[in-house]
Amino acid sequence: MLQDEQILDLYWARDDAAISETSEKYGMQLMRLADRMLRAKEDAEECVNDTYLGAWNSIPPTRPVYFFAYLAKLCRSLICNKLDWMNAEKRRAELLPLTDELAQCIPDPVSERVCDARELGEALNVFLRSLPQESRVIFLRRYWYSESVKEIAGRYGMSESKVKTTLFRVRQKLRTYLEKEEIAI
Amino acid sequence: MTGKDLFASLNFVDDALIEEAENYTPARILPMRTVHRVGALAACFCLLVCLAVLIRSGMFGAGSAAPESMMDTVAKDIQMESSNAAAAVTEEAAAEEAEAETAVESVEEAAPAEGAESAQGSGQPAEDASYYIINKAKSADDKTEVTQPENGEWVCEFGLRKQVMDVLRIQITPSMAGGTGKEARFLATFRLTKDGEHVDPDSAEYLAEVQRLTDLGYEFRTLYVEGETKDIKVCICGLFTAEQLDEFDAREFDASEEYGYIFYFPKNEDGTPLDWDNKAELPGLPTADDTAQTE
Repeated sequence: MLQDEQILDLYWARDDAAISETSEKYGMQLMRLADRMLRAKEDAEECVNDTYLGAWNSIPPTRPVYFFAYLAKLCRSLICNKLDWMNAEKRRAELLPLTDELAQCIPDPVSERVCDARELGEALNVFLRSLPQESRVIFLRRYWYSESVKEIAGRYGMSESKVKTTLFRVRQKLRTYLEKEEIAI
Repeated sequence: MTGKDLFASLNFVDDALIEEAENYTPARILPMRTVHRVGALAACFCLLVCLAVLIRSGMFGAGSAAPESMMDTVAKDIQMESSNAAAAVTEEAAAEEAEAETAVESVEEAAPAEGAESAQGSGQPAEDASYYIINKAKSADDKTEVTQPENGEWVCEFGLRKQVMDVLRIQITPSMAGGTGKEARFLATFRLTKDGEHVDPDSAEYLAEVQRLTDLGYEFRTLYVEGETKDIKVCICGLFTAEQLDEFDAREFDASEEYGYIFYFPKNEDGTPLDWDNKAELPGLPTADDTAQTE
């Protein structure tokens, strides 16, 4: 299996092998990401294939430093576009609890400074970097990767109650942070 | 702002943080036992070094033969302690790996036994079976009480849940599997609840739910429950994969919003597990021929 730099070289050389190498190295992880969020396997496969197309169309001129993260973000954006929140047939059952949990982080609407999703994302970056590594990783695996509590517990060899407690505390901190920053969309 | 907005805004999290979450491995914390043992060995080592230094400085007086042989002895002791210290640390590490492999061993032990059992009933040699059946908890003492599920929810009794997690863990880390090469199937049944009340397993309502799940691809069979009483007792049982049990409420339309489900290992009256090959052919109940393709 090629290193990321070698795969990126293939993209830059416009070599078709770039897609197959990407699929071989990261296809399963991207598929798992899409599968967790979308009910239909066909939708998940479509998102993953569109991710490869998106990577092909954007590299070059981009040369991502973190190749998997770049692909995963492309994939997640496509998934979010495809998600029909009003239509449960598209969405997997696990996503509703995720968004309900995140809703606990939203401060009460007092003196809010309106910002767009990108600005909120930047604020989240600052917040996440302030967390201990373990808490940050657990938060991202839950809300970015949409993994279940038991998957996270199994992945890191910790109890489910520890994962739940960590998530609860991070959500509380995020709420406090957003209140302090007076952020709302 | 809604939870969905926050969920979507996570798309703008830095690549470095995404990558970190993908590759993060928690630091391995040595158990205190290991720390104490290594500390004790280090203290012994220091003591021996001091002894060696004292001997060299002439503590034992004249005579070249005696100090040299003493030095040799001390040097050998130091070497032995070093190798013991190294062995002790690897022993602790090996013990932790052995703990993790215990799940594999018990599954592997079940594998040839279960594969052989199902093979005997069907007349097929064990080598042809593409799966092996798990039909009991690892420990007879595993608790059976569960929280009552709400409608649309499912729970597993502890013994079943533990087995499912072990199988999923092995599938995530195939290197632990020991190469059984076969998929695990769980011989389990379920109690139905509706608004917190149990649904009679002999009722038409229960049968209708079994039929609905069969139409969705689950495999059911009516098995005899062996006991001392003369009454014929049967149990409608399913053969489930670990994934089916792990994600039952998330699978498309599988968990009905009308019912709660409590999955468990069924037992004969003497506490032994049921046999998938001990089929009961009773009218109106799922038979051996009603098996549908599983997912």
